[in-house]
Amino acid sequence: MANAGRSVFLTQQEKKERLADRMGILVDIWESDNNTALTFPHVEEALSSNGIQLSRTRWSYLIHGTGSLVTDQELLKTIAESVFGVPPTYLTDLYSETPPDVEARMEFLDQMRKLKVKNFAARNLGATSPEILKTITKIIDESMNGEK
Amino acid sequence: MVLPSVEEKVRELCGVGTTSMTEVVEHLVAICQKPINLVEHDGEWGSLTALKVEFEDRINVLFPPQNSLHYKLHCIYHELGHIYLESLDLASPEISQSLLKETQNAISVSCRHIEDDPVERWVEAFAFMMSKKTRAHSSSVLDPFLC
Repeated sequence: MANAGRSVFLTQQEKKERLADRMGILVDIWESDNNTALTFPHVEEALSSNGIQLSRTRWSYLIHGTGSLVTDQELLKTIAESVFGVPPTYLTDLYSETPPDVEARMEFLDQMRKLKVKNFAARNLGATSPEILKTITKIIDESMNGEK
Repeated sequence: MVLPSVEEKVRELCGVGTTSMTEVVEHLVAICQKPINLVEHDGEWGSLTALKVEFEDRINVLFPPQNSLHYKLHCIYHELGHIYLESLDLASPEISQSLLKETQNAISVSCRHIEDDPVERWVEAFAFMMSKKTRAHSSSVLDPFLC
């Protein structure tokens, strides 16, 4: 995924779109991890346990890149950390690089979709690292070649 | 999601006596309505011990060659446990399972450490129980999988 350099100036509209794009990526990863859709009540609960309030309208702005740009740093930080478990800068600094873990998960999901995998589970004795995701992709890809 | 008793679900799947992996796979194929292929795959596995990959028309359980037949049995049963648990449709109504299924390109990915997650612990318990029942299988006819 291309990351914007600091020299590129983003308009308000582009900022809204980039934030929505990043939110979309995180929601996609969250949903594939949890095998369910991420609903507003879940987000609301995760945030309120951290003392942060969020309206459904504002959530919609964030997800769809519409309405006014959400710039509340505390809100974005809590969403990143409490809902998605990613470094806050991914949402608070729209010029920041994509964290390696997020990048690896995005690529992994893309690969699984290309291989037309609907559902997947692994018995893993170690941590889920980018290397492990690459190993999984390789095993599935090779095993499918054997089926042809 | 409230997970059911492993003992109860094992009993429902293959009764109280012994069983074979062939029998278990046959039961699961009937439940899932799609073929389940057990495929030994050579190559680099890292810390992975088995994978379950579901496609539109089939489910593949992939596993590395293992020296220990018992350990291989356990790892495969772990993945069969995932297949069984998912077939039980345990999601609570307020969770929009159907919403996700209708989402284009929806994909479910589970790659958690086996000690960190209740679902992983459930399928580990399932694998222990099923391996025990299979090892106790007294049939003189060898399980084709184990040959």
